[in-house]
Amino acid sequence: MLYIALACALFMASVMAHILFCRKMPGPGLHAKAFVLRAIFFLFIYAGSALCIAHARWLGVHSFWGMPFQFSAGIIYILLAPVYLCFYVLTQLTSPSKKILQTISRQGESSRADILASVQKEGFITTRLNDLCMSGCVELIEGRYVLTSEGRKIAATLDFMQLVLGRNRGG
Amino acid sequence: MGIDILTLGVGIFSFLVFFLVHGITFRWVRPEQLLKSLLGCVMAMMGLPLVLMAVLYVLKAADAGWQEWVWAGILALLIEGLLCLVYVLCVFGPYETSMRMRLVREIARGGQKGISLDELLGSYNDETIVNLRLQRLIGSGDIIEKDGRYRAGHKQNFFFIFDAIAGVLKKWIGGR
Repeated sequence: MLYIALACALFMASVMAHILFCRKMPGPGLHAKAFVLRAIFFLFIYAGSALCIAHARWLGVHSFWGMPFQFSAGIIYILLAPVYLCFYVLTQLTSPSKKILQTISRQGESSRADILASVQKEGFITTRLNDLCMSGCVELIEGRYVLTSEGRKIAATLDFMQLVLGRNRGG
Repeated sequence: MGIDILTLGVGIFSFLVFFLVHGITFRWVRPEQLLKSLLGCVMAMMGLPLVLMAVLYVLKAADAGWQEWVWAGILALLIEGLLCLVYVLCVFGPYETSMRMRLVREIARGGQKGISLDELLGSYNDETIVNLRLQRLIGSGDIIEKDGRYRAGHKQNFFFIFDAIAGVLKKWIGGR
């Protein structure tokens, strides 16, 4: 269990390091790369510590703290990173579903027109288009949106996913 | 075989079974049934790592005490749960609900010459966004529709739970 406790503690440390970094940075932004770098750094610390603990043999493998779950703890650490990033993204974005629920809960009861007006007010499509242009997936050339090579790769991946999942285009 | 590798293997294998079941059955799931079906599928698969671990314990697949087997079962369950969560949040969720992903696909239809904003809005606009989401939210019971009026269904739903966690995070980050 020491490995699990260590992995959880180091994951929390990487989250705290990322939060401190975000507090220092001026202006909004996802800073996902900053988190990934910190998470990798702490993962190396975990790997080094796990190796040291295993070689030191000061904990019996059948004792509660010495249970040999090194790899499981490492995988749990790795899987927690994207989960944290998803929650972090939520701090920066308002999804249309959230907007709809907020509109309804604020007014108690809403008509379809009220909901549509609240969504239109947010300008979801234009902000997302601007994000895509800023991220380099889409270019605006003479009033027309064109996919860059990066965007075409994403579109091809989505086509492949549609083939695997067999679902209609989402959105 | 070591109990650690066994735990990892059971967790990953259970997720692969979930992925297979999900891949086959979700082809026919309508958008309004999506959230309920997804939750049902994840919950149904949660028992699998525990059952597999119990079978492996009976077969004495690894040299370990009962306490280690119990923790191995819990950890396999956790690994499977996290893999499902990552898949839903990072792969399936964005594919199904992300506006950016849909916009990329709409623009891709324009080919080399691209697509103008008016053409884009002709096939994907605020009405499409609202219709798709109302379908999903009504299907999951988060919204109730009666005589053309919409009101909240559940007091606590995924969006508010996720929002609450994101709110705490936002507070720590400094409310930016």
